[in-house]
Amino acid sequence: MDHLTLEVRNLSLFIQSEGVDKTIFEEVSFNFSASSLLAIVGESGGGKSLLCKSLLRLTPGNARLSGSAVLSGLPTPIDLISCSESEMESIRGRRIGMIFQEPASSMNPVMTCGKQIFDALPKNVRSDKLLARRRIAELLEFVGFKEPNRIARSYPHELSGGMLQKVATVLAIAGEPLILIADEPSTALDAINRFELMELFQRLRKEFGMSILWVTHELRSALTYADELLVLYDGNMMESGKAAEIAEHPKHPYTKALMDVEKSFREPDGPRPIPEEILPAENRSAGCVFAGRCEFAKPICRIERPKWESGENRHGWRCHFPLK
Amino acid sequence: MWRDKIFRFGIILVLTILVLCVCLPWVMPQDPYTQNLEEISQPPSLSHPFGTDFFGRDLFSRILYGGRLSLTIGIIVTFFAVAIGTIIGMISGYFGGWIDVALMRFVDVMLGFPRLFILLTVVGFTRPSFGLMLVILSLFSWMEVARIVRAEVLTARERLYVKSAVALGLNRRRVLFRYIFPNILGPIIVSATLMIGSVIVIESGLSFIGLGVQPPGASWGTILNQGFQDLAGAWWITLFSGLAIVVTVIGFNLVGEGLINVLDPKTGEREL
Amino acid sequence: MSWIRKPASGNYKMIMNSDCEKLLDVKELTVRYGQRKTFGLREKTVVALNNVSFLIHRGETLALVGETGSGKSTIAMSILHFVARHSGEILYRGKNIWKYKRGELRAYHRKVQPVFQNADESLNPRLKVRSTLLDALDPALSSEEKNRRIIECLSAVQLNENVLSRFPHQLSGGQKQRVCIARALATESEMLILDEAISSQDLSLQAHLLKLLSELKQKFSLTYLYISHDLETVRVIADRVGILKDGRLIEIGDKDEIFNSPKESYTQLLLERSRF
Repeated sequence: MDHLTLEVRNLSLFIQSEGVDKTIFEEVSFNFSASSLLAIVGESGGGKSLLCKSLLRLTPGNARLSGSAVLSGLPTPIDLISCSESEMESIRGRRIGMIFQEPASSMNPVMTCGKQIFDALPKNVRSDKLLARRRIAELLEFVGFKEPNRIARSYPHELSGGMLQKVATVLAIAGEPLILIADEPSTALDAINRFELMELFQRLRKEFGMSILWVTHELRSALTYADELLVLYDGNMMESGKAAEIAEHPKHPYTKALMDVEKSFREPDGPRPIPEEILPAENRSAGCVFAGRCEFAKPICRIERPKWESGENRHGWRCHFPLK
Repeated sequence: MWRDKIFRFGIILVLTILVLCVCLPWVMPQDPYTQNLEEISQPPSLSHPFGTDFFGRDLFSRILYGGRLSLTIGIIVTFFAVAIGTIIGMISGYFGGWIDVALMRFVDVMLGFPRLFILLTVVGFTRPSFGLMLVILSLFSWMEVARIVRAEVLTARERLYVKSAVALGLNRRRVLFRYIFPNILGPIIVSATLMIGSVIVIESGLSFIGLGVQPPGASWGTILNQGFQDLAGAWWITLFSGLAIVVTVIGFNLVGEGLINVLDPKTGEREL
Repeated sequence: MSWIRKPASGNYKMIMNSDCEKLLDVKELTVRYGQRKTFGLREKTVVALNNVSFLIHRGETLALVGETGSGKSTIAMSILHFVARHSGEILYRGKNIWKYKRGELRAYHRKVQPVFQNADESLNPRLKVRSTLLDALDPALSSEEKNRRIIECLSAVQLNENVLSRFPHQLSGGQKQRVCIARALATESEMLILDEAISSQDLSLQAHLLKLLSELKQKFSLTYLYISHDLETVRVIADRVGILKDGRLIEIGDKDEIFNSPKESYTQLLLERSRF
């Protein structure tokens, strides 16, 4: 089985509204190799979701992308940002699959799950009805359904949220992609289903060598399951590196603050949010985007945008005063 | 409001047509009723920019005169049909239950009526008049709007902000007009702008059976119909009367589209 | 007569012992969807809720936990009187809400206010925040009184006055949710139904809203029905916890009881798999 790697360099997204380019995220770079699990962590509205969508060019019409995202491992490498629309169509579903946060709204309510999975299968499988039916059953069984045929016959509204998310996963992997993009797949799920979904991701990596790009706002579970981590704040990369290393030694105050919030949920005094921004966003100068909420911020943080610094093991951060 | 380009362009287009039709007939030297048997079916020329019809009448003047009638019919009928359709659709969709069943069956009955038969009966029993035509056209045009509005209300009713409004203890009228109506305005405007064109065309059918405009009077629809008699020989009759209808429909469509933009809180600043 | 009311947060058992006041009593509630006859054939029905009974006391926070499709939201919708076909009763202060006359229902609605998960969907996109809040106020108030109330509600949810002239789409997710909470407060409600109200927010905002909710509860002597799939926030906010599975209430008890010694295997598994 061949392996795909994705190399994203300086990817930026601007959305034009009322004549002004609004930056959604800028200069995001990461490497994404076979059978790895990369987690993108950040607050909602931080551009995580649009980052996923821009890799498949599913961004809104008034959006402008710059930078590159080169998919290599195919006969010829393809830049996802600049390739033609027909090349993109051969990549969506077949090379890169996608799962969304709300499985219910990403499925067709008037088609049975089996029929929808059938449509997502590769052409050569679809042409053989018997093979297709067997493949659908196999896939449903793989994600943990005990009665795959009953599920294939059901309509989306007859299934619970956890079951639907599994069917959505089947839909995403039915085209046999090697890369899976999952946009907050576990946010709407309860603890049991969330756990099962993460186990499923691990099996996809082990058994199919699939690499998974996982967007989440839960730093803790990202640190548990992912091997690479990318922390995004307001469209800026704050820190990236091996999950194990970041868990031990977070360099950026924002990463640390996120960890503290999660810890505080179990404390007797109750949860403690990251303090709200003191300066309103409009007045923010060229400095660090997190400066307004950072407890270690010094005057320079508000004036000068910190440079990206790299440490050992591909660990990098964007901070004037990284934590020890 | 004026800042929206589409809206501005549409308004200019519609106003131009209106001004031309309302004012120019007084200025135009050619009388739309004067038959000139020496100039039958002349193609467009300098003296007759749109050519002449089968009776040698100047087509440009006739189209301008016809525009007064067609636009009056189009606008008035659309207004009443959309008003009736919206009210019935909103009542049907919002209250549901037996009211909904009764109103929708009524819509089906209206749609299923042999319209031509009714019209012929009316023509047979009454003296045709302009007012009567407006009434009949309005009464037979609101059903599609009612269906669209009902479907939109059914969706809007399930929206959480409508549920929240009900939970605030607001009365039904307020929920309907403040929370549902502004949010279904888009489809209503679209169907209204499309209807203007179809009403203008339908009127010609009524004229044909003797209920609408009688010769030698003119409307865009009757001129269009007339042109069909010799499409190959006198193509300009069909072309220019058809163009008049198309440009009007496009104009109103742009106004409608612009209106939707202007009323959208994401692009405009106004509260409805 | 707020001085009569017991402290809202803290030990709810104390309240139980002194004057256990039933606010809402849900009795054997069963809700089916899709029951209809077409051409004499009975369509497939989905049982959304199956014989669910529970009590909510004044001043407590009852949390209902379950996955999507377990019937959580149907309970919220039933209590809000938005469910048509049902059997069973919901008693508010001893009176069945399905027997209310129109005026009574209106008054009830103002006392029991919802806050939904999707703040985007719960605000009329065509109304500015000021109008949204004005609609929630008692129309009999004078305009100065209304202004005062609006500002009071805004400051209660820690929002600035400058949001008043904005449309919902000009607000951030957290601001929108706070506007929803402010609207629920503006009706002088007694009870809030928080249907996944903070679940889709990120953790810092969740922490923020949880803190806000517990402050509001004390300040306005509120009762909460907190519906969520997320046990971590339930642990923070709840006094009592009910576990829903496939439309049945399989377990209900004090928070400590459920978290420390759950009886049902499903609850045990849920706790085991929990995020932390």
